[in-house]
Amino acid sequence: MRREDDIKEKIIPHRAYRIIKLDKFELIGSFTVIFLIFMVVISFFPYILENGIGYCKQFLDTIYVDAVFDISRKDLFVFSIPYIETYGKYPTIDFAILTLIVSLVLSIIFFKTKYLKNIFLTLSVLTFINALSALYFILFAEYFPYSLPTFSYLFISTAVINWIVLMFVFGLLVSPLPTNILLKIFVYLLISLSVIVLGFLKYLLVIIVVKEYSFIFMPVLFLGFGIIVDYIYAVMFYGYFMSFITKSLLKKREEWRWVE
Amino acid sequence: MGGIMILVLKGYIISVSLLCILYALRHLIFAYDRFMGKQKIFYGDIIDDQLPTVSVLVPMHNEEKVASNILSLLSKTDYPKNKYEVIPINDHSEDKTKEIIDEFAKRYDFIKPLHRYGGKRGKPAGLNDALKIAQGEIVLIFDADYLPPKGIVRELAVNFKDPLVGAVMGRVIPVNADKNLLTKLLDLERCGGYQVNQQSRYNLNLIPQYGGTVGGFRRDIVLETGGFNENVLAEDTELTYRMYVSGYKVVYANRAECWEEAPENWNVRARQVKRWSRGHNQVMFKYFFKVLKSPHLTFFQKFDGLLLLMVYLIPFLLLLGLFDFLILFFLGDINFIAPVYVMLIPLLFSGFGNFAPFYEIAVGAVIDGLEKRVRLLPFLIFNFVFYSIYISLGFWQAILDSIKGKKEIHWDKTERFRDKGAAD
Repeated sequence: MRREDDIKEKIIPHRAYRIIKLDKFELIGSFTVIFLIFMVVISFFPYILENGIGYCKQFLDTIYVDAVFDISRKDLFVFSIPYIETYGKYPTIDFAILTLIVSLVLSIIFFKTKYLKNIFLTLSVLTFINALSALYFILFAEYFPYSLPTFSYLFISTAVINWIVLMFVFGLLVSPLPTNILLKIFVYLLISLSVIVLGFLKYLLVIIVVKEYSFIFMPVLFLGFGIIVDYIYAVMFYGYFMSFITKSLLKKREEWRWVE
Repeated sequence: MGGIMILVLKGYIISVSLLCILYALRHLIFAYDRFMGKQKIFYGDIIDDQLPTVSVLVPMHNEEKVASNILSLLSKTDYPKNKYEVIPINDHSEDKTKEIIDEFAKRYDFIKPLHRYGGKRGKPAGLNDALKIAQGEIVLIFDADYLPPKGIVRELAVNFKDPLVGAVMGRVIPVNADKNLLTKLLDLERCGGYQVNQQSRYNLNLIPQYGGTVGGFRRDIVLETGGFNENVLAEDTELTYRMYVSGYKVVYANRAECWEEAPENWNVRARQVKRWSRGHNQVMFKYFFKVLKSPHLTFFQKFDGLLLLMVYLIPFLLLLGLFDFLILFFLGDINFIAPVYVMLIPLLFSGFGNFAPFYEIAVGAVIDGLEKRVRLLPFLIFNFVFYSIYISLGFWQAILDSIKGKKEIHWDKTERFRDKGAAD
């Protein structure tokens, strides 16, 4: 071995020349295992959905003693999607006008805010969408196309498609990572199940908000509190996992190889 | 009529979704490639005493806060001084930039100032004037806020030993990354954009981009092809495509790292992104069909080249899709196409412009060892609206420019934040 090669064996390469050491068989194994877990979770989806929606109904039954909550089902591709049926309410004209004014004012304030502009601009757009919704209810309330059951189905069916895609995408992202396979499985399950469990909590909250405060908040909840929120905590777990991997890789020379 | 309208609205969402899925896959391939693929090394490891003559151009417009830092660092280069000159381009400065440059010119004979107080303003016009007096075979460009290390001129210049190399691009790293949330997020974007995106495009023989700073080109090619277009804001992107359609290649030199000052407040960043979008879209209008028809490009280079040309168009398309989505929602015609569209936003958040999606950034952060910063990944999602708005504004300006045939481009200088002595 030449002297320079000998030195290369001892130091972590400069970041421009770094590449992770990956065993091909381990890599194929990781993809296979994660894919199998993905398939297993998908096959349990009917069970997960029935139980999740069942718990949501139980919770709603306890907080709304006088209201009636039913579970209905509709087919979506290969799944029968259960969803909660109950009655909701249209906003009064006064409430719609108040919502319009408050949303517009908030939207302008958020738009003008100089600090954390990315977050405040997002909030500004969401409050603007809420203002549009209020305007719609002031002008065309009778044409509003959703009841609480139809919105309930739309929200949960959208969430189900998103969970499947999200699990597939994160499977592709977690599988090749250079760490213990058991840890990868744990993180993958953590991301997948947390998204599903928190997804049911989100669904519950949406039903309560729409039932309690009228249909006026449906658009903003669908757009701002739906799929994108799932990604925020999925990416958060992923980010922390990547941070853990980075920390451990920086301590292990043997995990890196020089670009050749 | 209503049915046709709904069909059009849904058709639009599906088309944009398909285009975005293409981008998401492209970035996934880049992430995999940088993580575990075969890496292509630039020519920086070559040791050769037959180095080309080099002219370093530093465009400056009211740069008194940073001028002395970059001139001081460029004067300390290890490049042979008989093959080296620095041309600070003082373009209509009204502060003390001129005095600072003249002071350095007195101390170092290889610093040859160009003071411009007449003629067309702007970076491309300044560069064209400087190209007329530059003596080097190779021209390297550094923006005034950059802090080039001692060996970078050699690392960049040596790539031109290959006669097919028309331009070279180094890596940009924010020097003020720890300043606030914005600079930390920009550091992550830069990391994904350079460590993964650029390197992978170079690995895969696609279209690595010359970025207008921390890079250079052959002077004769640029002069023969008419110099810089003074009506285009993104002269760097324009040069990249000009090189490729002329049969030259662009090298990405990942090891040639240079420090930049990232914008520290959101308004400055908004203006910067809007300007990039305007310039990049001007280039898109000009080069879309040229790329498609070029006999010098392979199928994949054309494919990647077109996707790269459209990166500042996608946010506008996504924003339109958002309105489309809202209309469909209020018409009660939203169904399973909704999640497909909405999830593309997270998949692509920061995945357009010069930026990268979260998974590409994560790979870059692991390679760079950004252990704590990678935890900020979820914050990038909030950049979607911010970038979409300002990039779309830039896109509209580019359209107006092409309609009006606007010929005058002014300096829209990025505000500097450096404290005195901070760069030492």
